Amino acid sequence: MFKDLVRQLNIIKALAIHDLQGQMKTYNYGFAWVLLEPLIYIVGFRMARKLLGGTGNPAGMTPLMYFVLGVFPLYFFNAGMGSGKSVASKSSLLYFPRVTQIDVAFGSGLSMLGVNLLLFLLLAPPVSAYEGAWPPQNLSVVIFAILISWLMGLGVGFTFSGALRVFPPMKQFMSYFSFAVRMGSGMFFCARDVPSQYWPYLSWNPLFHATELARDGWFETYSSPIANPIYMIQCTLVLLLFGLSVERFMRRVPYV
Amino acid sequence: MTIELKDVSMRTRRTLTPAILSNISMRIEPDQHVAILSPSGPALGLLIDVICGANAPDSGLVFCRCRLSWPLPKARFIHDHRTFVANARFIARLYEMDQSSFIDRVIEMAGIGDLAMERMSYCPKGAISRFCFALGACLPFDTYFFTTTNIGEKDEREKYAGIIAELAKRSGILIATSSGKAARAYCDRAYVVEETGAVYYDDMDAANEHLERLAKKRPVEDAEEFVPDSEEGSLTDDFL
Repeated sequence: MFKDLVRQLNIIKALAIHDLQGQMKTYNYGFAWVLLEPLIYIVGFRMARKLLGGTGNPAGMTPLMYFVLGVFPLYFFNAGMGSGKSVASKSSLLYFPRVTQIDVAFGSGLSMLGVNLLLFLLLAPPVSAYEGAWPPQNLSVVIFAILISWLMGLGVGFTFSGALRVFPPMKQFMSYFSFAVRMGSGMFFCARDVPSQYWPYLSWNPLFHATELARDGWFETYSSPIANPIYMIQCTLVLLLFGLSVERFMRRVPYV
Repeated sequence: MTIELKDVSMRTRRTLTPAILSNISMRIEPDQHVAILSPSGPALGLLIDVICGANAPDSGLVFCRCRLSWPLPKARFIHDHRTFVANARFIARLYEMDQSSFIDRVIEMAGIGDLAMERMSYCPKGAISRFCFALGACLPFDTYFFTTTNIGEKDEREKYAGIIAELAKRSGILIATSSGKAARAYCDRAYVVEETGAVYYDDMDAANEHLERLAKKRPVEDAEEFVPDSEEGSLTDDFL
């Protein structure tokens, strides 16, 4: 049992490294583009907010770190979702009899997690130091928020993989879903920007909790009125259990 | 320690004229040298996918209770923007082998010492074919699964045929091919796959006759596309 577990972990490790090496091929400018992409987002949002007449310090937070902590939970969520969804397409790695779909998904998920964590460590400290928001109030809360976003994404990805596998046009729906997630994640706004009568509606979204928790954990000056770690854990467990059950069931279904 | 298919049925998808296989049953013991013969076409690919576990059948059961190789020398997992050594390291990690000794053995067997640190996309196809074969041949499997036995350039094939024969002495061999001639060199029994099932033969000549009959039955337009594995063109299909 223990030997099998170690073997499976070694397989996932090998697949994660293989996936990481494969990503270098798709990024034309190596990992420089991985770093540039979120920077462009953050600066773009900052400028857009300024142009639209937003306040300089949203709800008492420094403007650039506000967006950094808005973008990263979404990045981790999307990374997890992409990895979970990868189960829907047939990978060439499945020709290894010892590799299963779930190994491929976890391998890809771990490599994306590594890339995004590195990115966060490269971006967050200099940006917060530049704005005088260093050190974070509670780094473990921030790490918890982004890791749970990744796990949530993984659960959602596994859930959608079943539908994508039997009905490939579902891809079209996925882009609408991604747009809705982006809008509702709290990347552009925080709970205190919104009138309190709308909080009960916003607080259904566990990703919004993650964004709020990350900001709450980083800034001493911001206290989120809705961030609830217990709710996030509950949602993540339900999504993962449901997603993994879908994945387990879909193993018996041939690829379309 | 067997590979067993029980009443497996499957069909290709997203095609106007789907290839259909139904009620395929076979049992392959680890020390046997078995060919799976079928006229070239998608049906053989379906079976290869199901045996490796890369795809699920529509119905039926597949048991793989032995250490089976991936279909050699298929190598769609290769990162061609990386070196031979980097790709060999991936396999060593995946199969928990000692990396340095495994890489040395692969490079020696493939005869790519001078190309080992070259980006694979810059290297000749023959070298890639030898490398992909060596990756599997240097690992200890109960059954080695081949989709072609033509490894490397024409003048190197004898050497690699010798290596396959060596592997056959200590392990099982499974060859899924449309070329009866290639299978006869290594196998002493065969399953000929038809739409309605797999027919078992312990006589390779009879199996080849059956395969030829099946190939002749195919419509004229399909028959023109029939390219046995032994011909040059099929070598490159699996690479990059």
